Amino acid sequence: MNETGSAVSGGLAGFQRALQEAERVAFTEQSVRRVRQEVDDLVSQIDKARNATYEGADEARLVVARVTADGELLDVHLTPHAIRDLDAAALGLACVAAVVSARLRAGTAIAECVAETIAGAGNGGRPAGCEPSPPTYDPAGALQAVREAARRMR
Amino acid sequence: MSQGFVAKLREELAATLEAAADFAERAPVQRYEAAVADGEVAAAVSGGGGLLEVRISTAARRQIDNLTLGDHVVAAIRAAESQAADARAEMLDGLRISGIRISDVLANPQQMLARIERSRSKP
Repeated sequence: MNETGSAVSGGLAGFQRALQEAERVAFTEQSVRRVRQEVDDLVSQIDKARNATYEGADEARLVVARVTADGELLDVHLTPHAIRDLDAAALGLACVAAVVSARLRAGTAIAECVAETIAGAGNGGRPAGCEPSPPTYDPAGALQAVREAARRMR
Repeated sequence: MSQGFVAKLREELAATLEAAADFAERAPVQRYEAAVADGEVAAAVSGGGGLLEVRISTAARRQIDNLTLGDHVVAAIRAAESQAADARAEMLDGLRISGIRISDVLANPQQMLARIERSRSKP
């Protein structure tokens, strides 16, 4: 990003700056074009992450799995070394490790893409009053809340 | 809107919430298994979709080439995931509010609203 804040696209923050600049100059053709460019860049950034495939492997990289951004399993490649070096049980474990690793990579990549996209936007990219989620999630608490809601409804 | 209709709606909503909570509680410990290649390759997933296990028989490891074995692993995992997805769909289909399946309510909320609107005209 340069000092005027209008030459380099930069996620949601870039879009906000372009929009502010467009407002300041009363939406000239050039400034609106800049806003549109920022939106296109945002969409393309997210599309790129969503359309990519993600690879994961077991620790020894004897088995490699590929998944979509949604975690859908595309393929599992067992190397000839895997067949030679691992017994049947270890081969199964390596397959699980590869698939879990690929899905973890996909999830992490999407989360990073979203974080990069909203980086620098006001309030950390969150809507006003929306605090970041706690690092851990306790489903038991949420389910208890649902049951309580059901009890009150009766 | 009739009082009977509202009471029934509240009861159905409460029952739906409880059934959904029950399912969400069971899902992580629920296990769905599928096997391919005459049972030589099998996979198990949890109700939450996590991959729990891949089993490859000793015979399969010896007799099937590495590329085909990879395809079998994918097929087994997909089949087990499909079973888990079917169980979720079945759970959703079993939940009804005002006679409409929850899955249909989610797909077309207007249908539910239209029914509530119609009930307003009733005494």
